[in-house]
Amino acid sequence: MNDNLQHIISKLQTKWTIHQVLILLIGSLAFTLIFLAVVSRLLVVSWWMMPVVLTAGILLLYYFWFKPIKPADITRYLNKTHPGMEESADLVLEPYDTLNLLQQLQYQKIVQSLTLPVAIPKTIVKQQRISILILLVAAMCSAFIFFYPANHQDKNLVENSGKPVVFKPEIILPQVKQVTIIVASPMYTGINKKEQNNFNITAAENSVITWKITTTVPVKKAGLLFNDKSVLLLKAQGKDNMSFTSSKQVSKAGFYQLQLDTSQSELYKIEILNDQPPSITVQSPKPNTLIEAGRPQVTNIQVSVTDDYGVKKAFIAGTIASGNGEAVKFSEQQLSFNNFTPGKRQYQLQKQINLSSLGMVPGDELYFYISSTDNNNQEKRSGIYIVRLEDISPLMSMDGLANGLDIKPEFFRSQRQIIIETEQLLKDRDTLSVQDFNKKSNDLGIDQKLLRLRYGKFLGEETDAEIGADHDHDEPGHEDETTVFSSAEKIMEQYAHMHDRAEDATFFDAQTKKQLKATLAEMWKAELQLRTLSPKNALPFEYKALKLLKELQQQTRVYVAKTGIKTPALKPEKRLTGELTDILQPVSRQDYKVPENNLELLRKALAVLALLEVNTKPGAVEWQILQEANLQLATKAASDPSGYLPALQALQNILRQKGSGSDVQAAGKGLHKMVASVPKQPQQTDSKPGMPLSERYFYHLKKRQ
Amino acid sequence: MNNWTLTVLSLGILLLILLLFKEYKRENKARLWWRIIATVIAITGFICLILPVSYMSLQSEKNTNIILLTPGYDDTAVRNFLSVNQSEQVYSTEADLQVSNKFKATIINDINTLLRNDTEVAIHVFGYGLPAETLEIFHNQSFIFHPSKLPQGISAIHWPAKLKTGETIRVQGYYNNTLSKPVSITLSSFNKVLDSVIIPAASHAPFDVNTIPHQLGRSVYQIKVHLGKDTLSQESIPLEIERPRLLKVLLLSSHPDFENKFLKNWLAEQGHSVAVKTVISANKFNSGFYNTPGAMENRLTVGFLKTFDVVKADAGWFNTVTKSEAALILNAVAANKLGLIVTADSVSRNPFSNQFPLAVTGSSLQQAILKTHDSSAVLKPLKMETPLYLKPQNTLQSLITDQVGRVYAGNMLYGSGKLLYTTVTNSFNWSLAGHQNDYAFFWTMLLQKVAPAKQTEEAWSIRPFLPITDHPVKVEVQSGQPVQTSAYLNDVTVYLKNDHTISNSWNGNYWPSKKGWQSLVQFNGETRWWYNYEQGNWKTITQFDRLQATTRYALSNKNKTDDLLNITKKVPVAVPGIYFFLIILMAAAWLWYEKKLSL
Repeated sequence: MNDNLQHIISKLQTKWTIHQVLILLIGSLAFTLIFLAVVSRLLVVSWWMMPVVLTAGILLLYYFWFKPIKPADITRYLNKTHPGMEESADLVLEPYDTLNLLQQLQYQKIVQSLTLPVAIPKTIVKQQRISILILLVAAMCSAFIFFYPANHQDKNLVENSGKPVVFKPEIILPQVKQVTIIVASPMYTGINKKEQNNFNITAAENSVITWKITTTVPVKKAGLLFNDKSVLLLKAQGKDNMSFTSSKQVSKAGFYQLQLDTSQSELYKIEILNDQPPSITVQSPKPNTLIEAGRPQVTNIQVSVTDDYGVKKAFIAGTIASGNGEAVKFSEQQLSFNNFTPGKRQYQLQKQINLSSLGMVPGDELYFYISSTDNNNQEKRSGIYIVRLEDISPLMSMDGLANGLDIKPEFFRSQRQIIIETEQLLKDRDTLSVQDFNKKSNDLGIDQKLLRLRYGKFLGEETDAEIGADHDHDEPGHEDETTVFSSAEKIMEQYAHMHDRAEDATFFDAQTKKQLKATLAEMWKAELQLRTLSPKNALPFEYKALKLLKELQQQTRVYVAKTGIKTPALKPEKRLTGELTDILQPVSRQDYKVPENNLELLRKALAVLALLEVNTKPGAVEWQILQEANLQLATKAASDPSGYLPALQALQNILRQKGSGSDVQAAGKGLHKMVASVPKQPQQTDSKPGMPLSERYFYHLKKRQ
Repeated sequence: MNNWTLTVLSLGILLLILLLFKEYKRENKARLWWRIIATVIAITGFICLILPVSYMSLQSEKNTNIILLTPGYDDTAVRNFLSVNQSEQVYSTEADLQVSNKFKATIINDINTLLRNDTEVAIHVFGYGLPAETLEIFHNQSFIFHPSKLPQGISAIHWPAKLKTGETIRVQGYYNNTLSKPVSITLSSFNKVLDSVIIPAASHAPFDVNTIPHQLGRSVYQIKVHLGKDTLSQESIPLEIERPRLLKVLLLSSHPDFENKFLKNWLAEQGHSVAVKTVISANKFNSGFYNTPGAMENRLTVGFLKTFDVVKADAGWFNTVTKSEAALILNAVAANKLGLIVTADSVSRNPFSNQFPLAVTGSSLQQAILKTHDSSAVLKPLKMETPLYLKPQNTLQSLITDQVGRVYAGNMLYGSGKLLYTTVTNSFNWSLAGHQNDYAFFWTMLLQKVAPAKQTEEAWSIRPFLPITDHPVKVEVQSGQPVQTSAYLNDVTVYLKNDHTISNSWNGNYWPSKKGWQSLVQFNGETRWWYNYEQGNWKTITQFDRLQATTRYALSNKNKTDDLLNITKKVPVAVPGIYFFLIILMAAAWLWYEKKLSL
């Protein structure tokens, strides 16, 4: 009896577990389908991914959802669903011997109440149904995702040249059994030979196109008529006159017709994909770069070069202009990119140019452009870029200041002096001890500070009254000088109404103050670098400060124009009274030829088509107009086959007296498009024949007045 | 008064006398007067009972109603009418058997069969009515119109049938949309849509589609009505585009400038004849002749001016030349319809300050955005250094204004010609800035405004505007010359008769028999083309025209109809005997009761 119950429980457990595993499998299969369908839209999918994803799905579900069924679960379920168990099914799980008497009695009672078969829980069955439903939905979804037409198209038409986009099914002559067209693109394009079975061709420039045509009946003469002008005869292969071949190199777009004996096919188009010259984008430097004095004399060139079939050559062509005025000299240099290997379609090129290694000195300019040549020897140049090294010589020159006496202020070193000394310090670095170097740098920093404070005065900045108090420099007269400055300020104070803001109480206008402030800021930065013992970094700031100071100096100079010259007073009575009798009066004559131009012809042709549209038979003159319009349309169609070929085809049908109503409309549309617009111009209007009465009335009305 | 009446009266009076005598003899004299009155009443009533008493009364006549069903009639309206009124007969102009079965209508081919001499017949017309020319025959009869609702479709349309190169064709009209959805109207040529408008749902709205035709010669455009993707209707718009008639322009300038140079080039390149005369020094001129032969003299002459259509001069010119020369130009404008364009650049030196007073705008160096006076075209901004404008005048027609309405170009009549004044002196800037279209628009407008119209020798017209096969068209010609009395239409001779009101107008009738272009040979030998439609084209316009014509006729005929309907007669009306009997009864009853009282 014991075995019976145990048997039921274990059987139930197996059944339950099988159901759960089934749900697990179904669920993971659904997941796999959806996942693969979505991935296939984005990436390439191969079949081996299926088991991988399936396993992953199973593992995922197993980990997060699957719970193994234990006997305790079974007994809990039995207790819940079978009243006969009297909440005592757990007793089965215990060994009979360990039960006490009461339990044994209860055990025997419940064992009889349970009989096979015992149904598995309904929830599991429900879950299973839902999982199957999910699988069905997933299968449909993935099928939809998988087979829904992709709308992304290959942008590169060359890749598609084997199957051109045909907007209208081609009409092929009934004699043609089979046609094979081989498009051999030029070598440089790197495109393989393409074969196609329709007549409309899209090919790269200068491709060699070979036609192989097999006919159903023997044909005496076969040929291709290009752009209504040139004929390419097809050579017969074999003796039966049923297969023909010929080839031609095409460089221009146009259209052609197949001629077999007397019959002519419709017009087929040849579209040409022209080879574009390489495109060059310079990402850095900027078109006009100024390298300030003291900055590293290096420029970094970054360029991206692309071409449709491949780049053969790319280099930097540079010209260095040195000297100024009449002594300017030019030297040309060609620099290559380090990371350039010919043949690729796209490049990201980089080159760092050390300007000093090119022999450039401050004041020199480097002009450069990037030149690139593609496989088809088409060269393209970028715009000209200019890199200038700042010229510091005018800053350093003393021309304007030179006078008899060379007065050098003792303690106020000028900004120029500070620069010279900084440079000297950098030169002497190797020969100086570290302490000396640091000390000199710090001293220069102090000098810089003094200079800053001095200029700060002009701006009315808070005076550091005790200049030099924070260090002990022996600078005689230092105290005196400051008192002089402060006394000047005191004197000013007596006259000026100074309060609130020290900054506003100066004699400078706002613009000057702004520049002075900028100068002080640069000085402050230079001082910072000097004091932190890195004079090299201080140099750019020192230069900048000097430059700004020079600018300030220049600004204070005012241009005063020369006083005007005195002209003798005009005598109006004498004006225009000169002797002119001998002077001839010019007369010009010209007849502008307004030719019977193309526009007018097309407009007339449109009117002829309009007559055809209402079934009016045009006369010989009108046919002549249509013939001439046909020539123009053919020329236009040769250059833009996709725009005008249908119109040309229609017009030719009309000229062959085979045109239908839709042909008239197609031709009309094409011509209408060619006319584009009719210019406005003034013209005389018509009036009805005059009545003598009204004229008489007007005459008498005038007499009255 | 016949014997019978006399007999009855006399017998009655005798009876009355007898009875009165009896009353008088009666012993009981109480209420004697009351009894006498009752007796008189009784006898009077008795006489009246025997003699037929009648009175005269006004009574309207009974009319006979005739119903005429015309296409588009409304079933329920007819049925309602029939249920209220009696109708003798129902007629129909529609040769549709179903209709005649429904109302037992007689189909008539000739409207004259409805004519009656009897004015008592009232004709009730249902549907869209009758064509204008047949309505007049009802002038003697009462005519009542029961119009149907407007049909879905184009109810009116017009366009210029003849255009010059570069002119815009505007097809304008009204569309009646009875649908609950908007419809679109398109103008197309060779199935290429050139313009379109949307007509809102349930509305009778005007429409205007336009384009500049590309053709040179005859052409047929299509006007189509679409509801979504369906085409509701399609009609042909025939038009003929002619070569432009070129102008002869004289440019006078007091100094060489770009404005004239550009204008000269622009006009000459299009083939117009241009002569230029520019002052370069005292009495020295630079002159030029483009596309025209000619020789310039130092002074303008009447004969020289006669060879031009338009003269353009700057204000400075009038200040440099003598007064007589300026008067010469103005005379040519007044007498010979010469167009004169004057460009003015300053207020102080304005030769026409009376006619065209100028004013300065406040700001200088402004970008003026010029537009036509009705805002139909807005030109690209033009930088003007000294922006002057024309002060408004009663006689001034403004042509070009700026955004705030200041006039920059305006014209006025001067004698038989036109004077145009403009303060735009740097229009060439449009050309330089690449806005050649704006430049062309500006000068086309100004030149065309003043250019005198060329008087033609003969002016032909075909009426109606939309001729239809098997309907008569009226061929009309106005001619300054003595005319031939016949015209040739499609090789058929049409004899013309002189209009009795307009002496130089002649007309004749022609019956077109096929659709399409029809020829008409003018007196000068040129062929003039006109277009004929087949039956069924422009159906809604015909219906609308009939509705309008019939409504108008019914309205104009309303007084007569009312008169005819309200004719009345004095008719004797017999008074029913019962009233007299009752009177006798009451009088007798009183007499009987009085007897009871006295007992």
